Amino acid sequence: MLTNDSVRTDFSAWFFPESDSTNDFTAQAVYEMLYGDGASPSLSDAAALVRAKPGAPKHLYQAWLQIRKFHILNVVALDISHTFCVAIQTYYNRFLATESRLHQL
Amino acid sequence: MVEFQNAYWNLTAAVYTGDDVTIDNALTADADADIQVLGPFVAGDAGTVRRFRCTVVVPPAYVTLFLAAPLMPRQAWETVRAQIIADGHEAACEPLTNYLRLALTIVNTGDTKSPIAIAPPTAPLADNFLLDRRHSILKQDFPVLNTALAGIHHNEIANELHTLVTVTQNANADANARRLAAQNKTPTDLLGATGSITLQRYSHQNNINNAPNVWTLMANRKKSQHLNIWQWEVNRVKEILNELQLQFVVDASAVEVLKSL
Repeated sequence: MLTNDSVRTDFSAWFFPESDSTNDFTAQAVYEMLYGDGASPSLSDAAALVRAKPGAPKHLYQAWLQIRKFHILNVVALDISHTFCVAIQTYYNRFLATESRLHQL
Repeated sequence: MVEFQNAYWNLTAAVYTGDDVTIDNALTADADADIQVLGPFVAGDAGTVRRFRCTVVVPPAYVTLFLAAPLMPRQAWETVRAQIIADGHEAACEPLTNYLRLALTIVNTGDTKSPIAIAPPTAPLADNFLLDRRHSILKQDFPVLNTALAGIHHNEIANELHTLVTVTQNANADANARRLAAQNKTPTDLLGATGSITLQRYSHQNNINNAPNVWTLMANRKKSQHLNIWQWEVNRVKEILNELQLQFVVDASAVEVLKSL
């Protein structure tokens, strides 16, 4: 994260704000239709793909969720043995270890 | 095949022959057909004096008459000449008619044969050289009989067929190679050269083909399936990380950002 704007552009843990899973599945179906053969998507269809903007977690559970999702996607994209994924896993473990103290904040 | 001597083309001495009417009347008067030769004719008789060759060319239309059966001079005159008159070819066939006329004529009293009656040519003994010579003439006149030529044609056809088969096989091999290539795309086909290098750098891989499986899967699937591919891979990783209870529906915007990094 080089600048403040990077929160909205770079791929980071901020990329997974709280969302409704029903809407997420709908967005996946729309995506499939949008790029399917002979598809003619409308503007509203395209808008349905845009979900909540990246943002900071509002509570500890959401923070845990964001870190874990970020880790999973990086494992998919880079492999589980990649140094960056190992680093996130380490950070995640430290996060869990300090969770009780965070609750007291 | 016979040995045709040059003497067969020689001219005879001048011979008196009867004209058509004289010959016809003489033959008609002999109802028993005993007369085979006429003459000798002398100066003053109705007819002509001329020299003849001992050989005459038979027009193709009348060859069959000679081949049907051996003809005596009188039979030839009565049969062939009658046919020539019936066909209206008297002028065109005058050499043949004159030859037949001489064949009926003797020169001296007491002769039994015409001066053009010669011993028939003899067929030489058939040796290999002669047989080869005869066969070569036949092959030249009738190319269809030339088995060697037919063999060459067969070889040409076989070569053309071989070429056609080879072209077809190459085309099929190319099509198969293209089909396999279409089924075995690499991440480079998805990301392009620059994106491929970026992915190699991020994933610490020297070879783009060693990049994580998700990139190869995306390269070989339609864009509409890309989100599903990421969802399948996410589910697989969730199982590895013992996070099956985690509800994670992959977002299109996240995938697009990852692809464009």
